[in-house]
Amino acid sequence: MKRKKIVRWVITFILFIWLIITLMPLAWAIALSFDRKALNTLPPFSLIPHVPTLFNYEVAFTSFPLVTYYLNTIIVTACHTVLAVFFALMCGYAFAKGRFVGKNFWFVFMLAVMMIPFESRMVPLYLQYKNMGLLDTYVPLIIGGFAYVYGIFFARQNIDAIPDSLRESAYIDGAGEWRIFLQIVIPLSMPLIATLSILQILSNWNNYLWPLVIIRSNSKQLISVGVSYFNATQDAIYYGPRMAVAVVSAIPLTILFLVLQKYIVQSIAISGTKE
Amino acid sequence: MMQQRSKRNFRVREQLIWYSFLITSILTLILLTYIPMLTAVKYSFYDVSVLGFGDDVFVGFQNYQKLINNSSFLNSIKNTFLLAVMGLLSIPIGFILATLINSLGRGQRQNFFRVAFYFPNIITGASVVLIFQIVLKANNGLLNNALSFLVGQNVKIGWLSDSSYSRWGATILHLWGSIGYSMLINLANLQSIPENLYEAAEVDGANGLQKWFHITIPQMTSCFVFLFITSMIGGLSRFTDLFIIGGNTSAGRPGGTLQTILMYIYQFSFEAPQYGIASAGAIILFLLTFIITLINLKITGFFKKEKKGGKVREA
Amino acid sequence: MKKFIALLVVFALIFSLASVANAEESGVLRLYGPGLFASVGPDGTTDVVTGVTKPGYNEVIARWNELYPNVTLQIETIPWDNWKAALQTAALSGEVDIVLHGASITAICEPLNEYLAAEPEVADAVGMMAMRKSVDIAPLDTYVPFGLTVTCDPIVVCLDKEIFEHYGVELPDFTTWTLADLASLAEKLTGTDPVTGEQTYGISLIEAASINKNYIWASRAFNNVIYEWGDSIATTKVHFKTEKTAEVLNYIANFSKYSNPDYIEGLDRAVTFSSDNNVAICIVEGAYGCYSKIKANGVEDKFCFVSLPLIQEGEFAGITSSHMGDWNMAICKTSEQKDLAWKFMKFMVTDPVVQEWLLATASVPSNKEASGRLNQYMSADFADAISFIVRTAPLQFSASANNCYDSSNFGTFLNDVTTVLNEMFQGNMDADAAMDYVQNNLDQYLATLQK
Repeated sequence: MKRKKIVRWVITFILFIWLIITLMPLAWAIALSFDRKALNTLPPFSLIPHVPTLFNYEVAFTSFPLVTYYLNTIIVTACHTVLAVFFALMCGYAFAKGRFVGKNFWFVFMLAVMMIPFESRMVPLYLQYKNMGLLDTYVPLIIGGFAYVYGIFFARQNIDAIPDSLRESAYIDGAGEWRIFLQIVIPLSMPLIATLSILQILSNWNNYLWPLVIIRSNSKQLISVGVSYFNATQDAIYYGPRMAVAVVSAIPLTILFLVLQKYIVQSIAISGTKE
Repeated sequence: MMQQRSKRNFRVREQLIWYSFLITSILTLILLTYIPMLTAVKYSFYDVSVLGFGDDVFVGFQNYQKLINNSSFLNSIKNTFLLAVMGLLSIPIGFILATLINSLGRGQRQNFFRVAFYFPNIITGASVVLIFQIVLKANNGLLNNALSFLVGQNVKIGWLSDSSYSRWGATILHLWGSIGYSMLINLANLQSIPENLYEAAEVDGANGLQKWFHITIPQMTSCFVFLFITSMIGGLSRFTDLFIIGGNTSAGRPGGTLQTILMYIYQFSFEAPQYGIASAGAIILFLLTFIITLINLKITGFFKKEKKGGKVREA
Repeated sequence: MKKFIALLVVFALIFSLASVANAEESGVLRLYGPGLFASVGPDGTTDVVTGVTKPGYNEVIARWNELYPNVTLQIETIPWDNWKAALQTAALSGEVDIVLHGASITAICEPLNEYLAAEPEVADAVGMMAMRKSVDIAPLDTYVPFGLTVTCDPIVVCLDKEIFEHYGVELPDFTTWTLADLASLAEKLTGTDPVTGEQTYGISLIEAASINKNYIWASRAFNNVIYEWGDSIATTKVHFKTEKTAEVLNYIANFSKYSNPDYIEGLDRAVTFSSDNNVAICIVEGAYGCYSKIKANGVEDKFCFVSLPLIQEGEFAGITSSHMGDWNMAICKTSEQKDLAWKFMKFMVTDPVVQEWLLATASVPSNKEASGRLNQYMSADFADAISFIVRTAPLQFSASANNCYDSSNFGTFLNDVTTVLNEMFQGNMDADAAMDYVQNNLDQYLATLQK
């Protein structure tokens, strides 16, 4: 028994060292964001700022309308995420439990989309929105959410794992597919919803090229483009302020991850365990 | 007769109900993906530089011919596959990590490591690359300093600047973000291996290594296949980090070693506009990935009529 | 006094034109693109480190509305990341009149030759224009103006006078110095500073991510003409693999011995233009920005600017090989008010108030008269070299299209030159392999144009 305990501590120790190495770059980035010396040259590696300061964060908040960009991004991300997750669940449910003609066809039809590089269809897509008069609005950034293909795939895997017996008993009570979906599947899919949401938020948050070409008015711009603006308006690469901007723009995601981590870890695991 | 019709009606109704779940997504995909995609297919047969300007001339398969004979394009395919294959290292490393974490037994400690190791997976963007450019720098980069300390002599490898090492540098950067994911999937699968298999082996007098070899590895095969395929597909569409490493260009610097197919397409879409050629490249990429996806679906058994339920315990 | 009169004349001219016609013009003029407007923003910026303040573009709008009260300006700016993609899509939208820095993508711009023929005084006023080549308009051995250059970025050489002094080396005379002089100075000034005992580096070329820009000046200095123009790009022959190109490439790669090892990793921002500088010769883009840093660091006595060595032979023998980068404006092909767009562009390069504004944003105006006034903003040690370059460089001496280097018509040429020079700096390629790489891509690109 004692040997087992020692082995356990040794493994913990190894994992701890491994973890420290893994997180080192992040820790350094955070340290740099508080370092007054991190300007156009990089100070020697240290996890404690050489000259501790909040200067970099002041710069980040004063040199561009961070708050406006934050709000814009939150609006777009929230709308896109809600749509994407709900419709992914709908499709996922149909593909997991439904019996209808052309099921395999439509599934492949959807998955195939993952393989079409966005860059090559961007210009035709842009022209379509132009003809609809939707440039410089958030619509083109949001309505893609009606078809979140990776989410559909992911949802199918997860909903598949819900036992059929639950559905059957609902049938006996006279429930239709929609009622089953809304009253049984959705409540049972909270981990799935949490994961898809964070994946969506993550990709929306970092999305750059599409908002850049769609949004014209500076006041409507999103945080990713804002960060790029910030980097462009300085005369040189200033490491400290840059890291501060990076930290500030990553904070909401980190908090979200920490809050939802239990669900996320669980549902990602489900997606990858199939006999 | 009457009964048959009502049965058919019911069938049609059932079909309609299921399609009501799908129809919005299908229409969206047709409108936002397939129609623009067909435009790209069309222009892959045209000589057109900037889409929407100048006269477009139909040239048949010329764009495809040109691409297949173009050494840079072939090189970008090679790079894409090399990088994707090197990225597969996340599977064995993730497996080792998962084994270590699993051996801690369930509890607080395991949960902590599981979440902490997964964390880098959610951190993305340009700043990560900026930091790694410093970590992987030739002179006094963190990694080189550590290596110098280990081997006892001064190591000066330009992980991201020397074309002989750049694929490794780019792989290190990629692994940093992807090991957590691989670990998570591996761990969940490890934990879904039925205990009684091990118990039975113990009765037969198997030692630890034998158990690992004869039970763990075979039980994990499907998990490895899953990771192999998702990671290959992810690798085929790699773009952003390599674009930043190359100084915000799609040239795949250093030495063109990091130019993926997607970067090649981007280059001809916007940097040196030849929209026809870019479209042909996109179609080729599409076909490549499509084939891999079909294989994926085949292996994961989607086309099988009889479905097995997912099987994982509450984590 | 002469200058003052000239200024008055320009003023009077503009006002007389303005008061008659301008109130009749009305509408909305839409500008889109990266560059100066983006980096200063509407209200101006203050650099966080140097404290250098630049006025915003609202001043330009205010001035424009004095002259054209009924024409509203709508300026929409973008960052440099992915700017080419953004410009191409914006032009497609049909909602842009002027593409900022758009002349590089000739497909989306209106050529300016007719406008310039109607108002030749505009061409006379500027020291540079965005010249490209276009078969549809003129034979390939001539240039077609596609954009008006508003500000130019002469490549200057920033010398650390202290390091020269410590080594006992004389400063070069930039009106006569040669390529060989530059190479030997870089060699001499690399080592341990005899006075301070610190390591010094002879040279820092233009940043590694844009190392191709070093090829631009060096190839011109060697007069390495590589194009044999045909009736179209497809029939044009490019002779990149020649002994002369090898000479140019080796000349540049040779500097790797005298460069800071961080240079090649794109981490060459270590050149700080401060009191602890350790690079003797630094080739910089953005001369004015560099001067601002020097001034902010209070070390104006330590540094000075010179122009690059003289061109050895050929058509331009004897003038400096310093070229100029630019920030231009072009009329968008899809615009419905091209004449009005032209009026705004003319305003940007001729209006005296705008020229003052450009100078205040630490830019070198393309307007010759205005750039001649640089010495009111900086001491002769710095201003002379800049004026020398702007004054002597031929009109078509723009960075991206000339007989030695053309980045806009030959596919991935720019990316390829950058790639091979980086490789040569790393020691992974010799000149032969480098030339094969570039020539091969050029040939394959030209093959794609064959009908």
